[in-house]
Amino acid sequence: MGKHYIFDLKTGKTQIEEREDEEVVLPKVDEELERRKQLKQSAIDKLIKLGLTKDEAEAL
Amino acid sequence: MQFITTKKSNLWKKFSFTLACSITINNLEVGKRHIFKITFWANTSNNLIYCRFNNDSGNNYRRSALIFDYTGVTAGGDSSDTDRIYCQHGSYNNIIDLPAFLEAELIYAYNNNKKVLIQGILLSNTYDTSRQSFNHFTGRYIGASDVSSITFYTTAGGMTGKIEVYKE
Repeated sequence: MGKHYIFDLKTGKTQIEEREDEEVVLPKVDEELERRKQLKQSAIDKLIKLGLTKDEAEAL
Repeated sequence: MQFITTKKSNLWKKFSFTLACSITINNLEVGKRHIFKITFWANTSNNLIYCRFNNDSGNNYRRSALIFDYTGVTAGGDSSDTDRIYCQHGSYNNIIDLPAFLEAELIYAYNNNKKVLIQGILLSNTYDTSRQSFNHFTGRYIGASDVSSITFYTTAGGMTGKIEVYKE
């Protein structure tokens, strides 16, 4: 349950309803962000294998 | 600072809310340009904010968005119609004691009040674990009747803050 506010611009009044929240679906763009994170981590791992320290790899 | 400019004298109404899961603004003046300025504290992490018009959850929306943060710029959007317009590009974790800021502009189509365009910005404190993020979003809605209300939704736990509605 959550509070849902309804504002009326004509009267200036506020109404508050208690009802179930809507299920929130993550936008598709999150998949792209996750993919970017994985790519970044993969690049860091490769640099570490080449001899860089973790800090040096992350700084690049 | 104003990203979407309007005169202070165009302020129409101001409302506040506490732990709101959604805020609906009814009785928009059809055909007019509206501007919404929302300052809020999110009460949970991993937040999402999106909007709908006329309480319509049909697939009548399309949007695109950008995030500017320390990693650079990331773009996203929908290639087909969806049921909402996200006001950000992805979810974000909010630092509880710092407010986020959302500013949006609503414009009706020429000679057709069933169609609207919305564009705006959302400044949030963190996007991942320690990011400041600047989101720019735009979207359009094509409805079956004149657009007379807009609702901003957030995740469970809600948001606390205030909204100013400008009209011109």
